[in-house]
Amino acid sequence: MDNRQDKIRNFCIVAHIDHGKSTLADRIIEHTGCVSNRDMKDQLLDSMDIERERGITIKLTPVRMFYNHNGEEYTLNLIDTPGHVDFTYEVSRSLAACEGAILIVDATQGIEAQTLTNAYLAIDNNLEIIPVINKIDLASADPDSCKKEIEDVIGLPADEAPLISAKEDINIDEVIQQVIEKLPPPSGDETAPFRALIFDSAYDNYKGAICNIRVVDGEIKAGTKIKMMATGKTFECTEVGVFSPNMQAVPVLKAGDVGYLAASIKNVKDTAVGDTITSVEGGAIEPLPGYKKVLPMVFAGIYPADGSKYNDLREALEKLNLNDAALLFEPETSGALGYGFRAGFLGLLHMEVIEERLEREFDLDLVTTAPSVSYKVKKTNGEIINVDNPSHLPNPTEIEEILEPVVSASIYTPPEYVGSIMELCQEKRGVFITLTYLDQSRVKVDYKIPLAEIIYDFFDALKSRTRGYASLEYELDGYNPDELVKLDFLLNGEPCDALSLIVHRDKAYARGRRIAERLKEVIPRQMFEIPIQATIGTKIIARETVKALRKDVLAKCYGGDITRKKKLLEKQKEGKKRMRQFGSVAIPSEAFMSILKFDEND
Amino acid sequence: MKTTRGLYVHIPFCLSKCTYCDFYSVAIDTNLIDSYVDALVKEIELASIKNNGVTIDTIYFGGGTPSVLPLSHLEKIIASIYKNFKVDIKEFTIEANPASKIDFAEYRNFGIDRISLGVQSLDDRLLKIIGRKHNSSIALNSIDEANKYFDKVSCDLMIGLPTQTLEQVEYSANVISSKVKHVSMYMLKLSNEVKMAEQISKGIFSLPDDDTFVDFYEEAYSIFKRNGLSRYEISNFSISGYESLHNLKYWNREEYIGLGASAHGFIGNIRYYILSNLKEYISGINYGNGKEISEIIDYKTALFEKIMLAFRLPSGIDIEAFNKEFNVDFEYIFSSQLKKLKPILVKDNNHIFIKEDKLLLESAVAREFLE
Repeated sequence: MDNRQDKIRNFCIVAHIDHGKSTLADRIIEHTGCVSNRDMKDQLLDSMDIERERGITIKLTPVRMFYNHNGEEYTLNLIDTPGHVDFTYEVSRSLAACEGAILIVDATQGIEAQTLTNAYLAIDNNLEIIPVINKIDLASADPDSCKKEIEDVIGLPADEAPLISAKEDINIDEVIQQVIEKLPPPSGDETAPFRALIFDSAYDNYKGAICNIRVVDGEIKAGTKIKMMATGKTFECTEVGVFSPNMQAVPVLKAGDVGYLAASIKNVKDTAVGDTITSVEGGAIEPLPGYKKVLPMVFAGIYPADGSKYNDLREALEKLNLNDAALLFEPETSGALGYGFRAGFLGLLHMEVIEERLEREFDLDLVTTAPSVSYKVKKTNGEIINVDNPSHLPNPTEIEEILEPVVSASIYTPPEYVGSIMELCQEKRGVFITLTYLDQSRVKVDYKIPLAEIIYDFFDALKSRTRGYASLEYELDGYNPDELVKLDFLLNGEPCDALSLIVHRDKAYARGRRIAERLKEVIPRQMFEIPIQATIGTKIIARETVKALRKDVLAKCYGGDITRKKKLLEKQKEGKKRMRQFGSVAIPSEAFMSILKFDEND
Repeated sequence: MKTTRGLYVHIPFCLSKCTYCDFYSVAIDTNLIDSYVDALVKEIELASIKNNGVTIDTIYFGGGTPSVLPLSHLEKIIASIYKNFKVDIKEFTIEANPASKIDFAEYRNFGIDRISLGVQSLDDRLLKIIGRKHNSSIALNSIDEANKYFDKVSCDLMIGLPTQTLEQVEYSANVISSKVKHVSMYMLKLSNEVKMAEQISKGIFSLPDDDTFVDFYEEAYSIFKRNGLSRYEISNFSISGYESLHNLKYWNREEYIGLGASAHGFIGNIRYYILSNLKEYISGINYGNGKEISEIIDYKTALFEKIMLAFRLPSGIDIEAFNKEFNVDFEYIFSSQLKKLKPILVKDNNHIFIKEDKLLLESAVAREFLE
């Protein structure tokens, strides 16, 4: 039996922020004689400022390295993992491509929140973990205490953990050796039908969508007809290769290998993360486990601030779409905002990153509505419709029931925060399911919570209540009916559809009042008195009034003042152009946006 | 049909600078005054040639403080005007400051028939704060003197001054409008260069807010009405027949010639003004060139100016005359504006004007008509 796979190790590096993940990765690459991919990283850094600012780790391509150990040559594949709860699924699929993980702990800090989160994630994905203690060169380093923590808190044996300094290049080889000695090799079947896991994808202008794959069984060459098992779509493989770290075509990829596959795939949506690729002829029957269809959870309206830039916005969204399989969008119109799009995102972070990229990379001025979820409405005539734009909710008299998406949320936390977490979930209309003690230091709290309550600031609130130690996983778990109502706002008697919201009846009054108050604050006085009303159906639940302007005049206008006055009026008119017109009411753009994004906690 | 034009002459000298004033003026300097008057006379000669065939029907001496000019100099200028221009004077106004002695009798001899006194307020403390060099009793004496010699006396009143109260406004408005037949009332408008702006930014004083301004204005207006004065322009009130004919030219968009440093003129489709700098003015004239800045008013601008100015008057826009002058249908081309402004405009007998109690929204209205 070919023991080719015995010489392969597929692994990743996980750590809390700034514990030294990138530096260690660079060192390992250097020590294996591989060309450093720091240049590539710098390139990526330039184009991914926004992700960097948000603390989203930049995903690097996998790196294939070679290392001689005890006279044998080993192939080491280092796979990078991103880290944010919006992308948990992607993280899990990257981990699924590995057999092991290096867990770095900073010797001066010890175990911190993300250390735990990542460790558990790796354990849950059946990875073998090698703890490594970094920064031993620093004066305040305390490796022994670190080792003890790892054993006590995570329950991993740490007495053999390498003590290193990635920065000072100390003991790096020991890490590599432990990777080889302690991590299991892949154990796929080279003779079985070809199966590969897609754990990432990116769009290349020349090759089309490129899949980063981990071959589990069989082998793949260029020219083979392949099939995506989740969608059934077939393509012809044009190229397979590895990352060393640049893309390098190879004749074949076999079981245990990590690399890429290109097949002139036009749309990156056809390369779903977690999907299995097999061959058309003699292909596999069972896909690899763990695939989930990624569905947008959060929706928002995106409109160009200047109506004439509609096409620019459309082109920009199409460009972003090339490389973002999770982004969905379709055209929509709003009485208040004109022509635009309704876009679907994985979560709030995804939405914010897309919005910033549209503004920065494509230089677009946008008006975006508050994020919302998609509702199901049971009409009195029996029809069930989907509504992802609150202003498209049918007339209340036609509605029998509104159902909202609900998620099953699992919150992993140290036991001392359980009370606070349960309080938070209750506030968010969560229904308690169960509490599980995983071990002395970890509790799993399960709740069913309406998705609408999760998308705003649930994650941030969770982190702040638990000093960063809690982690969250959630997935859609059906639709539940609830006492939901549509909150509308009338400005000067005319409904402003961009402001419409669907809220829970219990929260509607407070929300309506607060938004009406904010509107009163930001709407400048105009020639006429402006009544502001918050309504549910025809019932007015909150009311504010913007008093009429009494003075907008130039008192002195003699011969010498006429030209000056003209110029002043022109200037003022320009200034008012920056206001958005809603029927007869003018509101400054930024003020309007701040109301659209109004948060309950503001 | 003769062409008539108004004539404005600027006398840029003052005893001192009031803290709110952003008109062009300099301190009195005898040599400077001599040179200035000489230059003015030269300009009058040149202007009369340019305005050949035109009849002057209103004259206005503004400033600064025209009343600080020595009588001989004043006489020199006026004599030059009568000598060089064709005149048929319906009104001849001079601005005067009550703080200095004014020879009303001589003014009458020169043909002046209207006095505009810078009273501003009858509250002594307020007068000090804004830097006026007279107190209320001096002002009242001046008004009484003026009334002896002139039928047409006007006073300036200011509202919205720092620390001013409604009672002070009421008192000044009442006393003044019972003594004279014309009042000009201004709401303080500060530009960044004036001393008062600095005082306010330093927190020495504060100004009343917009709502208070409007309350003061409305109170003063109702007092004027009680005393028989009508409002014929946003800031100008008079007994019927005592309106300022010269100033009405501005708001009716009629022609006027401007003479002197920083003076403005409007002839045909040109608005021009003469540069402010005194020294430059004096030497410019000596070299035969009056340094003017001109602005050519095109059709669209003229149309807008007409609307902008007309809305300042209670009669507003005369639709038929407007349509004839600009060859348009006013109500058609501005139908959407008129619809939007419906709650605050009135249409009556071929006129469209702003509602009496909304006249202070004049700029907001004018802006709507900017294309």
